[in-house]
Amino acid sequence: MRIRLFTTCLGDLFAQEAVVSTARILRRFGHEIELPEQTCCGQPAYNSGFQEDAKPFIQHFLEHFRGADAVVAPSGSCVAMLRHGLLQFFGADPEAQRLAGVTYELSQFLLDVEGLMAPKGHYEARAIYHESCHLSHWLHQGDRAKELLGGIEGLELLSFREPQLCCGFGGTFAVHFPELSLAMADEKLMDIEAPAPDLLIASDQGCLLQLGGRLAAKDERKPQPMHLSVLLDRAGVGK
Amino acid sequence: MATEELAGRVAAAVANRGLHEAVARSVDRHSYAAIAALTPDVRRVYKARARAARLRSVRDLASLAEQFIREAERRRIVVHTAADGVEAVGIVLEIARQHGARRIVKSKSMATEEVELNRQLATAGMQVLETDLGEYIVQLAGQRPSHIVAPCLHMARDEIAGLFSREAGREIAKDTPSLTAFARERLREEFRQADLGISGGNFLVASEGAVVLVTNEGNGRMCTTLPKVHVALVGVEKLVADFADMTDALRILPVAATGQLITSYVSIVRGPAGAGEEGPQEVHVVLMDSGRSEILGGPYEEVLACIRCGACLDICPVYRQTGGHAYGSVYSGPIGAVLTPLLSSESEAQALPFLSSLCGACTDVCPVGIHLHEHLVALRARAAARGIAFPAEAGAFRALRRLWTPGRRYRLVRGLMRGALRLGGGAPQLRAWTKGRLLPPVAPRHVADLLIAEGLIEEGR
Repeated sequence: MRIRLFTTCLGDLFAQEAVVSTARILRRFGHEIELPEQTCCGQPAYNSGFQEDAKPFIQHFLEHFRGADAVVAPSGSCVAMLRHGLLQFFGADPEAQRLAGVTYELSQFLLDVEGLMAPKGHYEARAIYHESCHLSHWLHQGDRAKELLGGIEGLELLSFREPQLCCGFGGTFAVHFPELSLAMADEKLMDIEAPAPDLLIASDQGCLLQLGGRLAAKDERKPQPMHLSVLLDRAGVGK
Repeated sequence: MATEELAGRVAAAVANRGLHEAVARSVDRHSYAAIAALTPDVRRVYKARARAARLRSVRDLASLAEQFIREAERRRIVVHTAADGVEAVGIVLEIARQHGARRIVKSKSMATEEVELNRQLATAGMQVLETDLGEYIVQLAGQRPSHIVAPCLHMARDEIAGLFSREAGREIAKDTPSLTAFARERLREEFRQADLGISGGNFLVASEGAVVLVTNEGNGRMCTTLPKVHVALVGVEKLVADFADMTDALRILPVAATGQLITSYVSIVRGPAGAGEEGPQEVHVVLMDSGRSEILGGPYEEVLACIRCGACLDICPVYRQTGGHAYGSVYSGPIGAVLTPLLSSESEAQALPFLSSLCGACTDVCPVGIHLHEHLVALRARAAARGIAFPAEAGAFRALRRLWTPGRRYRLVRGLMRGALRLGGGAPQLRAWTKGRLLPPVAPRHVADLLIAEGLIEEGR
C-alpha cells in the first residue's frame, strides 16, 4: 500500500521519534511511505470556536493527500479532526469522503487494516497504558490499542484504575483553565499505583506532553512518557 | 468577559480539594453501579430503543402537547401553558394565591430550579419546603443543587450533620440512619400541614393525560397526594406519546442515574381524586416551553431527548474536579454546558461550552445517545461568532491560519517558534501552559529530514 504519512505538528515539533517509529513500522509491513507537504490539522482553531480558521488546514490536507491509498498519523486526535473536517467542509467532494474513510491513527491501521493480533516483539519494561480520549471515544476504538502490546515479551502491562479518565490536555482547554487542567493531570498520575512503572504509553502526543510535562515539572523520573509507536518500534514489531 | 468569570469560578472550585474528594467519591459510586447494572449488549439495546422513542416524541412535540391537553382536561386536570419562565412562575403564584396557600411542599424538579420558583414563592410570603432529601439539605444550606440527580453530592457528611443539628436545635449524629430519621420526622409533619404540593415531572404521557414522577424516596407521591392542590411544572420536552414509548426511557433512566434496575417509586398522576377517593381536589399542569421549541428542528434538536439522568456529569473528568456550582448555571456538567446556552441568551451562558476537555466520555455514556461533545464544539463556534471567546484568541488563530497554510510557511514558522521558546518567550497562551508543565524543546529540523536521512521516504518536500 502507498501510505501517506501525516506527521502532526506536535509530532514534528516535540516528538519526532514517534513519527520516525511510525514510518519504520509501516515499512516493515511492506508499505511505501510518502510524505506530502505537512501542516496542522486545524483542531486548535476548530475546537476553540474558530471553524473558519480551521478550514484552510483541512483544505491543505485534502489537496496534498488526495488519492492516497491510506493516510496514517501517530495521533487519534488529529485523525478525528481530519475525518470530521473533511466531511463537514468538503463533504460534497467524493474524494474528501473517500479520504476521510482511509485516514487512520497508527494502532487503528495496524489492527483494522493490517489485521494484526498481538504481534510478536521483545521489550523489557513495566509500562502503563493511557487510553487517549479521542482515539477511545471519538474514533470509538476504546482500549483496543492494548491488543498490540499483548505479544511483546518482557513487557509488563499495567492499567489505570480509571482508564477512561481524561489527562486534562484538551488543546486550548489547558490554557483556558490551567489550574483545572493541572488538577486533571495530577488525578490521572495519582491513579498510577506505586512502584511507578518505567513507561507511560499513549497514542497521542497531546496526552504525553500533558502528563510527561507534569511529571517533569515535579522532577519525577518515572514513568517516562513514550508514544505507542516508539514502544512497538523498539520491541521490533513487524521485524 | 463571560469566559474570564467562568475561568475564575473554575479556579476557585479547583482550589477546594475537599470539594473534589466529595464529588469524585459520589460520581464514581454512580458510575460503577451503572456499569455493573447491565451487560454492554443489553445496554446497547436499551439505548437504541430509548433514543428512538425519545426522538420520536421530540419530533412530534406540538401534536403531543395538543393531545396531552385534551386527555388531561378530560380527566379534570387543569392544564396551563407557559411560554417562558416568567409566565410559568406567574401561573403557579396565581394558583397558590387562589387557594390562600401558606405552606408548600415540593418534590425535586429541575424545571422549577430553572425559573427560580422557590425564591419567588418566598417573596410572595409563602413557605416552601423541599422534600427530596438532597434538595432539603441544599435548601437548608441556602445553596442550589449541584447535580441533576443528587443535589447535595458536593457536601461532606459532617456538613450535613451540622446543618441538621442547627435546624433541630440539638446534636444530630452523622450516620445515615440518624440523618434520615431527622429528615423524615421533620418532613412528615410538613406533608400533613401543607396546603399545596408542587412537583416536576419525568414524563408527560399524551395518550393518558398523565404526569409520571420517578423518585427514590416516595416524597414525590406524598407531595402529589396529601395536599389538597397539586401543581406540576414540567418542560414541554417531557412529553411522550404513550406508556409504551415511555417504558424504554423509564427503564434506562434509573440505570444510568444510579445503577438501579428500577427506581423505588414510579408515580402516575391521572387527575384529582374522585368522589369518595382520597387525594388532591385539584391538579394543575403547567406546560413550560421556555426556549424548548426554539431548539426544535435545528442542529441541537436531540438535546431535547435528555432524560436528566446525570450520567454525563458522573463520567465527566471536569465535573468531578469542579462540582456543579462552578458552572454557575442550573444545569451543570456536559448536558448543562450544552443546554444552558440553548435555553438562555445571556453571554454568561454562552461561555459554558468551553468548560470541557472534549474527551467525549459523555457522548459514550449518554443513555439516549446525545452527541454531547459535538454539540459543545458547535456551540463554541456559535459563541465565538457572537464575540464570546477567550481574549486574543480570534487574532491568534487568524494569524496561525495565515502562517501555517500553505504548509511551506510552516517550516519557516517552526524555526521562529523554536527560537522564541528557547529564549523563554512566546505567546501568553504558552506561558499559561508552561506554568506547572515543562515543554520539551522544539526539534531543530523538520521531521522530513530525519525520514529522508533514514531512507524511509523517497524524498521530502
